[in-house]
Amino acid sequence: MYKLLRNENMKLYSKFGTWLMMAILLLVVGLVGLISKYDAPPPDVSQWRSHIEQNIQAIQNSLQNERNPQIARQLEDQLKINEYALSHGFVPIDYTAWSYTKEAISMIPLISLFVIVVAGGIVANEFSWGTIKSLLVKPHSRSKILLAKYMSVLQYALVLLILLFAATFACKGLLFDFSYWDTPYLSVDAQGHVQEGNVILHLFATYLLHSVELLFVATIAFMISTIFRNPSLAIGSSILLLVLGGLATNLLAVKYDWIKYSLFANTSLTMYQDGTPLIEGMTLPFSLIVLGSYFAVFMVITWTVFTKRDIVR
Amino acid sequence: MKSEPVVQLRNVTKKIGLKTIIHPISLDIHKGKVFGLLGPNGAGKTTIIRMIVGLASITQGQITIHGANVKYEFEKAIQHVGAIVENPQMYTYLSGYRNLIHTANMLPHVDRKRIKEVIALVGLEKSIHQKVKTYSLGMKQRLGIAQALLHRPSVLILDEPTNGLDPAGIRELRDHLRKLAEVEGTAVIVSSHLLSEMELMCDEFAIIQDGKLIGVKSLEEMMHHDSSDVTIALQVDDPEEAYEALTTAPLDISCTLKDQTLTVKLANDQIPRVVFTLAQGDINIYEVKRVTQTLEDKFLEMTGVR
Ligand SMILES: Nc1ncnc2c1ncn2[C@@H]1O[C@H](COP(=O)(O)OP(=O)(O)OP(=O)(O)O)[C@@H](O)[C@H]1O
Ligand SMILES: [Mg+2]
Repeated sequence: MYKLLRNENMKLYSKFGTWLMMAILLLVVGLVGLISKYDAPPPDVSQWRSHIEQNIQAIQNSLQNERNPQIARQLEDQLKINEYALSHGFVPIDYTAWSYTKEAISMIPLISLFVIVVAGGIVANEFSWGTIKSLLVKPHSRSKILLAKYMSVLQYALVLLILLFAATFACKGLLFDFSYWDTPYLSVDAQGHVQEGNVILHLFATYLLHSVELLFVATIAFMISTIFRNPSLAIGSSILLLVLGGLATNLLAVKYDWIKYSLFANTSLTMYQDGTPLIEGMTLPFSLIVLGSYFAVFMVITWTVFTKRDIVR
Repeated sequence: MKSEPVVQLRNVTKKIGLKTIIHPISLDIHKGKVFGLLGPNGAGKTTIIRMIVGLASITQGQITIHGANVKYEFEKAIQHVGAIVENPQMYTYLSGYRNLIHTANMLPHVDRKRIKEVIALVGLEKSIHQKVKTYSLGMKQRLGIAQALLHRPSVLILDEPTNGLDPAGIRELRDHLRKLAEVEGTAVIVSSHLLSEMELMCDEFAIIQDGKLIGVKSLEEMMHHDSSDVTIALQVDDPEEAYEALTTAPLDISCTLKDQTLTVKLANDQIPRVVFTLAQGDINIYEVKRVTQTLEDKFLEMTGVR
């Protein structure tokens, strides 16, 4: 299995396009970083204490006339974190080089796009090149060969996420400075105590949480690639889904309740963190079940088609 | 005495939709033999090979390789097989060497030394580190053969292996396949519609037409199945007179005269009497040549093209 994966990676990373996409990602990170340096400079780090004090004041004001208990709870937590940061002298993430990394979560759809290109080609290309024949007349089951391909796609997605993560940090650090990079991430646990966490782990976990949509569009591209054996079709339709899926879901969610069973209504798991589910009554377990079901169906279709069908010209 | 066949097809049938592409076929392919699948375009040779190597499902019947059923024990069955189905296809953006590494990674017990060995075997040392994009068809074919031989398979399956090879390459391949079969005991299956080269390469043939097995013959059987009857061509100074003499003589022969060439079909032991008859008739004989019927003639005769 390891050798199969190594083969897939050898094929993937020997292609110009694979590196081009990484280069484009770096370029975008660099450009956006440069533009924001002049366009929207970050808050002055020497002023962070007074900013936090102002923020505490503001939160206290809004707490007084907040009736929604959930929001009130969130505000209280924020208050605790601010006070903890002040008393321990922890500079908030927004004043460090990590701020760009945090903002760059909005660039994950770009990664989705690149991963679609890889996922849509990885099976279909073998068919269009004719190499699928030599690939399958080897002492490995078809499922294992397909799994190696799928893993290679996920690995590439991970590589791009890490690249975005590291590049944004480096970019911000180089354009400004790296000071306070080891500031802890503060959160409030269920008992109401403030916890110190590792900022790198926390941010990367956030990246992964925002990559649910990426995982699904990649899986769909992979599935279409396997079923129709046509890279352009797989890539094209998946990109369409990436662009329109979330949009259409949000539009329909206003009118129809059943939309909560659709895939894209459930991919933004962070809506539960923010306490604003797309449709009232949706919960995290509900979304996980819906996502799990979609995932299982996609997997079953992809693997069944690949293992059962004849290889024809 | 024959050994247990290495590859066995039993009533193998292929249907696509309602169309039967392969009608029940049973074949035995033995160790150390080069077995030819012979048939005109569209006969079903590639389809049979696809089924043997598991690329196409078997509608009915079964195929075993070293006793392992291709359908149920695929990995066990296929580990003995090296195959090229139709044109060899490579990753053209990788070098020839990387393509071999790719294949080696999927096979058991192939080390760098073996890779070097097969490169030398197919004579690609000079261009092995170039991208396959830059290869000629023949070079790709050689690389494909190198890939198929990498794990010293005991069954080698090549679909139209001579496609794109130059005469020297064809000769090399032929010698190599013969050597593999004779020295290493490899069972070789090749398909082709080019009979002239199959004739020199194969020990046994299955003749396929329209998805049906017309017959399995060994090379000798093919060539000499009625060796008592031979055809001779005579070159004489006066063909008309010779024709006269032979047809009037009390001999059990059939003569034809065409373009000043006298062709006689007769039993082998009649040849001296024909010569004697002509000599008696004072006809000068310059040449008596036995006309061998080529495999091609036989083949076309059998498949009813002629
Ligand atoms: N997927 C398919 N659907 C329908 N018919 C098919 C399919 N694959 C093959 N055939 C038919 O099966 C027959 C045999 O095809 P096959 O490729 O096995 O022939 P072949 O003997 O290898 O010919 P060639 O010498 O041209 O390579 C052909 O008539 C072809 O049209
Ligand atoms: Mg063919």
